[in-house]
Amino acid sequence: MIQRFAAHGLFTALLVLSASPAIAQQDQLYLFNWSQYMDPSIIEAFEAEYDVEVVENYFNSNGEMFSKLQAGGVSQYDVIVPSNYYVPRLIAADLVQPLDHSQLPNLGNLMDAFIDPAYDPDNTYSAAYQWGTTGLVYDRDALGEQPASWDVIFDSEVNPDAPFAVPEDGQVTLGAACAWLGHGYDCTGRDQLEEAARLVLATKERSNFAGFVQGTPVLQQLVRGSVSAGVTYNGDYIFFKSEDPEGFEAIEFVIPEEGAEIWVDTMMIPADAPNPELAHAFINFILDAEVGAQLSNWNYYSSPNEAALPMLDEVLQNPPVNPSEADMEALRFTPSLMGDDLQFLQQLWREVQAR
Amino acid sequence: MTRLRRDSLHLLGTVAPGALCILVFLVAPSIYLMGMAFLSTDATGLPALPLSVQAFRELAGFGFLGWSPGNLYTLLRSLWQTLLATVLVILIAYPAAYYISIRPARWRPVLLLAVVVPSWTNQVIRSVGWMNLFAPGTPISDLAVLLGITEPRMGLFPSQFAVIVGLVYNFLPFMVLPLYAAFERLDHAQVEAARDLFASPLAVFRHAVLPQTLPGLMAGTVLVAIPAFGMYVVTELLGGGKATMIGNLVAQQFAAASNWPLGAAGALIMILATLLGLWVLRRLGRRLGGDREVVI
Repeated sequence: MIQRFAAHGLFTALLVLSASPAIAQQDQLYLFNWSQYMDPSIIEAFEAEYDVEVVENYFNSNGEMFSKLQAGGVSQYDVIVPSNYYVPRLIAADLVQPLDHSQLPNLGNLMDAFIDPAYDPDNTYSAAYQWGTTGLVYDRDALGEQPASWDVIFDSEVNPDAPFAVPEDGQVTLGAACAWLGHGYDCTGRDQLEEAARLVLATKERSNFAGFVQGTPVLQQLVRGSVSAGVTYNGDYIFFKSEDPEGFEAIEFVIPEEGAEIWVDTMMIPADAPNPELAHAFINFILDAEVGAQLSNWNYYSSPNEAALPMLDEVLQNPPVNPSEADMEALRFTPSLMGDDLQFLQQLWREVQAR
Repeated sequence: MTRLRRDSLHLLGTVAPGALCILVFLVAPSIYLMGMAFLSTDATGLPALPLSVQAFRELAGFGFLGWSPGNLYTLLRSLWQTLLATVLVILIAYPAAYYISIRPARWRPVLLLAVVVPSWTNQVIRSVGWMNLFAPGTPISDLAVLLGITEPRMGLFPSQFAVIVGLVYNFLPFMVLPLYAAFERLDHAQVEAARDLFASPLAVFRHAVLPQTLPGLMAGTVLVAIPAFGMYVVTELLGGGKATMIGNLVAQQFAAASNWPLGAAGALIMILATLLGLWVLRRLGRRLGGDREVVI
């Protein structure tokens, strides 16, 4: 660890010479979040209550967030919202600081499933923000009614000519391929991953492969008709559908029975956050029952907040926001990878993208 | 104050700002990059000591799977797409620049402006424009399907074709402008002399026009080929993972993939390839220019 800091410090020192460090102000909170994920009126309420200004910055993938932190963001943001499988990696990389539970009385509002989670024992570093699923989305007009299966993506007989896209996030795409091959979404065996990578490569060769597109933009492409199938998140799907019910009438979201991703996004505080006290206040504010309900009612994702449940809109009680029991059995967390396993996966995915 | 001292102060005052700029914005980042390329990654993917050539090994294709050619494909594809785009840009820009140069004087600025104005818009927005033109179901895509160029229900985007179109469109002004400047100074007496001596049109071009416009052509080629080789936005938006170039490989390592040493090694290779390309162009210019030095 010390070695890493020495190396890092040496080279960043040169950059620091030219870059003017962000000046930490007492009355500003820097939030680094996914886009389309925070109700603006919650931000306004927090600003009014604490007499501060909240500055929001956005990212589109966990990898992007991790890189920004590494590139100096570790001292620029107060609250970040990584997914479960990046939590252990952020902790091991010393990019986040432990939470002071005495400043988070609302932590007890979380459901049992989110207290002491496997990705962060005792909630030492993280508090759940929202949870959801990543599933298959397709256009019924182009493909007809389909069973809940990854066949639409990976089987050229089921989908011979309708354009489809898969996520740029290698772990999610390889997970889906692994699931279709029968190894489960959360496969980690090298042979299995290699087989999955070969499947994605063969899929990429098909004439109706329409590129690597992440979950939120793929919904825009679906409604425009430039792709007919893709992989997206349940809440974004309902969000866009409620904005444009006509456009999304024939667009279906399903949890493939072979297995798909369930995830939790968490709130964490970067190691050198400019304003950790305000960050704790913000996390506690979000964990409030009413604010938690308001958040879910706005972004259509499931709330990890037990106390917020009675206040949720009806659409949030049913699938796909609240997965059915059968769906729950197919859902798995994305494994958190480090060391050789991480490098192995990165090399595989690089190869898939490069060819 | 002695004269020497006054002169040195004067020199310092005029040279120092420029030198400082070069030092801070060119030399320091390059040293940082070189250092980064020789670091290894720790368990979480962050750059770490000890120094190693791990990143270059990975770049060459050695990894857990033994040797694999993915990165090599990417490099070769970058070179091929750069070459193709540059040749197409030359083929379009040469007649265009000539045409503009022979218009009446009051029309020339207007026509030049028409070439340049699109490049005032952000690259991303122009690429998204092409995405909309080439998406499935658009007239252009339907025509392509009719002609059997694309599969039914598919668009012209994303594809290598779309990337080449995007590159050509993006860099056209950078070739037209220097060529226009060359054509404007063209000594028409030489062209007429060649014609009077019964030179074929090809010979007129080869011996009278080309040598005179060569500096413009060379400058344009440098302005087009080098940024095209490092292109990231156009391939990212229009390629859909089918036309990945080395710029994308590098960008991915600094973004989603979080492998900075590998990204830095890739960037170093890009710099070396660019320098090599410049050297080749210089040699080529000298040969075409009849051993005259063509400054690029």
